[in-house]
Amino acid sequence: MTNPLAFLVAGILPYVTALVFVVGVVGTMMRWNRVRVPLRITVTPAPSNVVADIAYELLFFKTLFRSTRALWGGGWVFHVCLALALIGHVFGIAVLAHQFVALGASASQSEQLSAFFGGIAGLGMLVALLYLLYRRTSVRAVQAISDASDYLVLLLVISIVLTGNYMRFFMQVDLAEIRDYLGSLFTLNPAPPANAMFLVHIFFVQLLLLYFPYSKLMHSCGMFFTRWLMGKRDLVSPREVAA
Amino acid sequence: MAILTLRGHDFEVDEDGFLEDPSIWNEEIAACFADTEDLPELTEDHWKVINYLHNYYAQFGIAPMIRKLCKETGFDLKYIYKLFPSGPAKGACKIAGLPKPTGCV
Amino acid sequence: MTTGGTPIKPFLAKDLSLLGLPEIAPENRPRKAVELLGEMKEQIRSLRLFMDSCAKCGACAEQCHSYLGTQDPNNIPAARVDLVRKVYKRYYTTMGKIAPGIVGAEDATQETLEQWYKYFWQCNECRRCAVFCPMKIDTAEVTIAARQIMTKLGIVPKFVMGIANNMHKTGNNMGIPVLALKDSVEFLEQEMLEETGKAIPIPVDQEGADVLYNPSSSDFFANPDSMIGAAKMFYAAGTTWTISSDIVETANFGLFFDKGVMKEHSNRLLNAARKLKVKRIVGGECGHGWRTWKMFTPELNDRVEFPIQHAVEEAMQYLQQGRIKVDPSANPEKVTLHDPCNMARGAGIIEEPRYVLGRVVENFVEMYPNREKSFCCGGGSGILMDEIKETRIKLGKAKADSVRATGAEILVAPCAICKAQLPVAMEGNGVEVTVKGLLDLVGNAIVL
Repeated sequence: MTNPLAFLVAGILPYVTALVFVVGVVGTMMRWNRVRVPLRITVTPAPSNVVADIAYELLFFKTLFRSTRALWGGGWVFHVCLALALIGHVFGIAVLAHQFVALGASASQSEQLSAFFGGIAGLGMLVALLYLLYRRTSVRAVQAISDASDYLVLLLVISIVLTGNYMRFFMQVDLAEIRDYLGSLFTLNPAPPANAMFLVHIFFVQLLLLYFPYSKLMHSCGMFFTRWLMGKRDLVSPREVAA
Repeated sequence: MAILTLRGHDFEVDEDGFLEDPSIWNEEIAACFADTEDLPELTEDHWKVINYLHNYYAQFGIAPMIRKLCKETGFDLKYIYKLFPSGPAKGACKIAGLPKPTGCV
Repeated sequence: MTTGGTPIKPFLAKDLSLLGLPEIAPENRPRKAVELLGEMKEQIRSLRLFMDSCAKCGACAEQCHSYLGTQDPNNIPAARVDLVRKVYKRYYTTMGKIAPGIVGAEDATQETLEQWYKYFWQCNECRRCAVFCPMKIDTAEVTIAARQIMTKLGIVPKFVMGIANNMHKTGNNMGIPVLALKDSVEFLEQEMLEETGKAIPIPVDQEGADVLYNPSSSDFFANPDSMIGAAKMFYAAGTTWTISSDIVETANFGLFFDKGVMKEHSNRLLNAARKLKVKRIVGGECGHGWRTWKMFTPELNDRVEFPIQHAVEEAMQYLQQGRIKVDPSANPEKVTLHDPCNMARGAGIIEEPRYVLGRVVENFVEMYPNREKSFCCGGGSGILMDEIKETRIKLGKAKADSVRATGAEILVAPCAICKAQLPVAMEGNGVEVTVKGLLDLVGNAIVL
């Protein structure tokens, strides 16, 4: 018999979270897309290839690199490590960290490599986030534009990273058990694992995902829309003919 | 609209201190408004500019091109700024009872 | 709304009858502002996206001349947008409705509108923030929206409304009546005859000319050299051209506060072109006017049958085709170029002025930053009111620093607002330089 709190966090909440997150994010993007573009507001010079511009921005955060190098350091390192960590989560759970076997490693070597990269990503995120938190509290201009949620969300993400790092560095997490748990969610027969740190970790993650569609975190999706709007030449809605 | 009291007389002026109703202007009023531009005494050269502006406005309903003002009075722009430190538009036009020139100026 | 004491906000207009708007009682303004914002977020994608997509990274702060010059945190682009966003969050987002204190959501009050008036008239709509924002968020779009809301509430600066009234009455921002226009034209033709010995015309209402030229009305008051430069250029190139006495104004002030006024201006120009049966239109030296013509004309008009290009593009083509000859020794001074925001960031005119300047002056130096990274002169979006001159000097500080570093004697600014603002900004920040238009120097160098 599972602890009722654990069941709430790991057996019921995930369904709510998935629904809220997917409906919230997709719904928001659909609502954005329905709003017209009454005038051509390209910022010139427009990039010759908007798709490449967006891809380059996504991969390298080029705008920040050229203007505010320190912020680029914090922001880019955080996002790259986040991407690595998320990819690592997928491999870690789907193939139990044995993805490098395809490249010639043994199962145990693959696990060690995964742990290594995961550790780098986890530490990278932590350092970057701590710098961003420091920046938000010490740079006058950044302080001036911050409200409580800007600090709280940083603290929440740091909590996710700390709990994740704890599991990475100080625990031996049974990936197979995690995989089984996730499978149990899909079969609508949730069986949460007993790992307390894991439960805390996914609780924080779900808080973030529940908050995500209703927050500035939507910049992750908005970025594509805004850079497209401001970069694509001749982007304008067909003229509305007055009735 | 506000009331500006100069030399004991009340004048209706806009927020920039320009005479609201140009049609009431005369030389006494010009002398009063000269106070607002720190020009207690108006010389013959001052009057040459003021009268040219007033007459041009009366005929054409707008201040003259600055270049034409210079040409017709024989004063270059530097000298006009010496006469009217606020310049032809903000200083001389005010004293001559014209509305303040506006636009990208 | 207070306008007494030390003026830190533009004087308010009292007569807005031109706009034909229903009157909103002052106590209803905050509620109405929220309503209008709710409508606009469904009608303008940029506004909507910018409300939702700011990550609050703060990269915009050190790139904004308004914040750099005034050091007022509300002039940080993200903070300026927040003046609207905090209201948007409160009424139109889940978090803003249930936990406003956590997400910086606020009720709309009279104080809100006071802030909007104060700060959205300290944004020059220069769009430099968009160049440096990872999301390319363009604060100008929010400024335009906030000012449009304020207009509908009856809150418009006197300076701007006066110009709109002049435009409506006379077809130009200065309010120059037709007879005065013709007198000025006659005077300039006389000046050119005296200078060159040639009868160079400035045709007015000439039907069937190839080109309808649309200058800034300030060419007929403060900047006649720009008009002379254009006249000489067309004459030397053998182009038949005309100005229209119905509209001798390229600066579209509607862009700064009301879409209806912006549309009317655009319609008026095209109608003038139709009436005069010209083949094409050439825009004179104005930044906002150019952005409006280049980017917005098709959406503001039922049909657009005239190609429209800028005077500097025209000059470049004449030079490329050898239709005009120039002698750069006519401009021996050290010359630098100010890229007007609405040309470089607004409409893609960046290399053309350099092409022309490179051929009409002897000693051209670039300032930094330049091109699309150029700092605004500080007068953009109609911030030319005398009552906030101190603010304007601060807004022009970043540009003054750029100019000072060049040691230039002549500062070329192909935009009428820049020509009006730059002398104030330069003098106020202790930089000695003479401001001229691009066509002014072309006119000096042209070999007739």
